[in-house]
Amino acid sequence: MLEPLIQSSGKFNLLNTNSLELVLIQYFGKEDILMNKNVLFAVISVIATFFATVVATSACLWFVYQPEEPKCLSDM
Amino acid sequence: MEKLAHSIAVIIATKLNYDQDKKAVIEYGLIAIFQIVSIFIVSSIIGFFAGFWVESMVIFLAVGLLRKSTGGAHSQTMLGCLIISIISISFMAFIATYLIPISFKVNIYILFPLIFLIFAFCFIVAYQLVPVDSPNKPITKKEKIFKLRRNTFLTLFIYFIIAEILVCFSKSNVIIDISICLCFATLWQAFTLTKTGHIIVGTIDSKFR
Repeated sequence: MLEPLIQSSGKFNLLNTNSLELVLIQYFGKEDILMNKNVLFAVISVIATFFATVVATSACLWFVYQPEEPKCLSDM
Repeated sequence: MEKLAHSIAVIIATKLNYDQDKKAVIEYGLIAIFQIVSIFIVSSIIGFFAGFWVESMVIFLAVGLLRKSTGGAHSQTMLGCLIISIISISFMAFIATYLIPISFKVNIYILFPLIFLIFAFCFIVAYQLVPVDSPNKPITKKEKIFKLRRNTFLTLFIYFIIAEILVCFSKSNVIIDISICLCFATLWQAFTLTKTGHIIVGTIDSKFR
């Protein structure tokens, strides 16, 4: 499946994100990949914001470590 | 882990055009997720191989949920937090599973009043000290203090009822272990509210700074 890209670009390094993006874009289409990436980021940000809000309304985080709370959450 | 949370927050904020406030909130949420998940995974692995997974999970959930309203002694580093949390969870689960004799576990005439005394003691400690805040998250609003105190007493009452019901109506060792774990979790949390708890957590934490 990766042969056309490997042949065209010479050495292919799986750890290189740009190469990985190239593979994904070549096989799935550029717009789909960019859209899926943004959806993924949005989902992560929603989950993280939910957890941050829950923690902000509590006395502290789950166990014994408490990082500095963002100023915008300190009023909650 | 904090660096990873920071990097992910920076990537998301850049890609989705978020401002600094939103980025800080995402980073804070990611640190919370990483902390919960890492303590869960490590204590699960230890519990699974040592034969006290259920007990570990009861303590993990009971301490975590109670701590959200009580606050308590804090570690200054995430590594210190992970080590203190995992050691305390595994240690309490180990004692509840292996060190308490079965003759004691099945004796309702000892366990029932003992659980009552433990929770009475924790109620008194909570009444005097809750909420215990930290420099990174000071609690000053009266409404919030009232809400946290109310949640603490409600949580303690629910734990107490569950612990007593499990002791009264169960003949299985694992179920009684869960009741004992609830007592341990509450005692541990009450201990971290006190000055002695702060000193001990601070001493352990200083080794990992």
